[in-house]
Amino acid sequence: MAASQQHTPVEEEAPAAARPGERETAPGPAGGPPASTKPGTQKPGRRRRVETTLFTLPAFLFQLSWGWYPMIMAFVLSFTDAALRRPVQFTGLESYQRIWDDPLVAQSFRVTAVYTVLSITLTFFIPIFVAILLMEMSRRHIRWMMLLWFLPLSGVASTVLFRYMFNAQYGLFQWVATKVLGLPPQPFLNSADQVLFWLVVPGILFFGPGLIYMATLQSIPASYFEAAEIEGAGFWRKMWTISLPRLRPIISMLLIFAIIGSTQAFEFPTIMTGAEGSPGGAARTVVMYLFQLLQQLRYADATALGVYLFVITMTLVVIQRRFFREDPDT
Amino acid sequence: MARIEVEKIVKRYSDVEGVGGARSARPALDTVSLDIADGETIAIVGSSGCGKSTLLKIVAGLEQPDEGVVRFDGEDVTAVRPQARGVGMVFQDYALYPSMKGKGNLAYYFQVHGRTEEEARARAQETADRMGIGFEQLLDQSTDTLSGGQQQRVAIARCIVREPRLFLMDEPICNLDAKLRESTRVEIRKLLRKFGISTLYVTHDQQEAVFMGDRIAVMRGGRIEQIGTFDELYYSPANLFVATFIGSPPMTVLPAIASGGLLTVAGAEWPAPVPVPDGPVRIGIRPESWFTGRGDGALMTVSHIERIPTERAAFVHGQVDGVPVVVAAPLNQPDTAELRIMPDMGRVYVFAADGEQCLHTPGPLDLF
Repeated sequence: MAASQQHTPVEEEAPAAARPGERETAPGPAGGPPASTKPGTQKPGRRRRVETTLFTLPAFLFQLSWGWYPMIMAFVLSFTDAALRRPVQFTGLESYQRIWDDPLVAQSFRVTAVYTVLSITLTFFIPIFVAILLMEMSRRHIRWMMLLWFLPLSGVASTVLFRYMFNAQYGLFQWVATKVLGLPPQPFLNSADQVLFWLVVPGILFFGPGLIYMATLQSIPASYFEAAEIEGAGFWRKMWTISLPRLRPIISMLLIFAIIGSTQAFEFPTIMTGAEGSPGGAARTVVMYLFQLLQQLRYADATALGVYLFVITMTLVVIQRRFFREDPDT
Repeated sequence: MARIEVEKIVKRYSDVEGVGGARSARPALDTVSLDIADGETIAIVGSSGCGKSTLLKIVAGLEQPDEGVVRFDGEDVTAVRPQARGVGMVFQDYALYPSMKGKGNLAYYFQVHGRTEEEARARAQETADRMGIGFEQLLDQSTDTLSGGQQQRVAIARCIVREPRLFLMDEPICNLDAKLRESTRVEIRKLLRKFGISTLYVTHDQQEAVFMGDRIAVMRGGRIEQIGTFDELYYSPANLFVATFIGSPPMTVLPAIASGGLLTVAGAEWPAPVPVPDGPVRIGIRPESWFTGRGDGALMTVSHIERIPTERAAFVHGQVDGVPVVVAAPLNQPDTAELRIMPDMGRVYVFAADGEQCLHTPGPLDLF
């Protein structure tokens, strides 16, 4: 590009004189890069290669040392005894076998599965419809609602607040249940059957990915809805034929994030129910149990559990990709 | 098919964003009245923000006017919802339903209204035949894979398929590239002729308006400045705005002093076409109404010559006394730095020195 731009004016001024000179610097259009050029006017292709490498190198090294290396090492470690004070010994699938037989692992996977299903139905799909409904409001109302919903809240602070609200003796929810609804005292987080449901509920209020949906919905030209309106389409039909198809790629992407996020749930259940996932491990997710293993210095077992979780998450993501695959003719 | 009457429509937007409060004080539509005869195409032309799209939406029923009445065949439809008005609207961005094939887009209306599948298919087939050669293939493709021109054809078919009483087109071809625009507008014109459906066609391109419209409405600032055939707008403009807006290249407007039946312009004295009261006036001359190379002409400094071989003509661009002037000349007009030009006084427009009042227009050209 740069070379041809430089040559064009010369050719216009004196075509006959410029041609031989051009031939000196460039051996011809098909002759590869020029043999010798001034330092400032190198062939862009080669310079781009060097620059590309230079620019990518830091990111590559970073990713290698903090991303891939630990991952691969964890994988390797899971086949050893991961001893700390003496040489590491290869133990094959021993850790995997031990983890497979551990009843607490099975329980933690059950907990995580229920938690994932609950949190995806309640905090992933509900916001899609809430966002679509919000967009039906007047512009001024939309702004106020967004402000309320997306007030920057500290994660830990609001989690602690929720722990107070769930308190079985003096919590706000207990007050609502007994004084307002007239129900018998509820156990909330103390019930093994209910704890996962109540863990997911605060997520609804945080409105999850709603902002992204609303931004996408706002980018749909008004004419699409006007065209449908002229043809007599009502709210639901407009939603099915315009809003949801336009949201589809975003939904697909965010669903992956949601799956990965909830299979790896750790902080929120830990703060709400303690490291043991009380009552009786009913809220102990896989990563919480993994953390417990680490605290017991069972590194090999912990990494083996991590590999199991990775395989399951990966499988879910692959299934999701299949399910959301774009139509072949688009 | 219908006769449409738009009467004294006023529309104010309360919360116009940006541009400060001055804009929201001015109504988007200020007492607009318009009649569309049965089967007539009216092109609405104006620069962006002049209210032409708002007018279209009010006729469609997508917006409610603050004052005024819209009538279809004498029936007041101002409060009628858009789907009950029987209008078909074509949008600038086509607005085809995503993730549907062309067919699905055509069947949408029938699905919404709970008609049978057979009816939808039969009507789509009928429409495809009317749309012309090669249209049927488009119906089996997903709309994302179609080109802009093809998408617009599907969008037009989507309107035709349910036989609207009125067609509303909101800059339907301005997203297409120049070459496609040319052929698509010919095609749309043909279709409009064929179906004989009353049409409101909004555009910002005056050439498109001239091509599409049986009559043209020129809009500015929420008002219709003039409505008429091209000849009426071109030769008998209602005011200075219409005179300069219609015509490309635009009319030259030069200040002049009238005294005793003579007009003094840039040092030259020309006889006034009509009796003009003494004092300052302005005269308007279209590019084709100039004579070149006359001794008693005004001196024009030439900046460049634009030659158009297909028209066998050239436009000489330059200035007279600092005012930009365009003169139509023969294709072989020699390159000179200066030119003596004089208007054909029978084809001169006279305007008041201030304001936009038109004192004299030459009227239609007598060709035979």
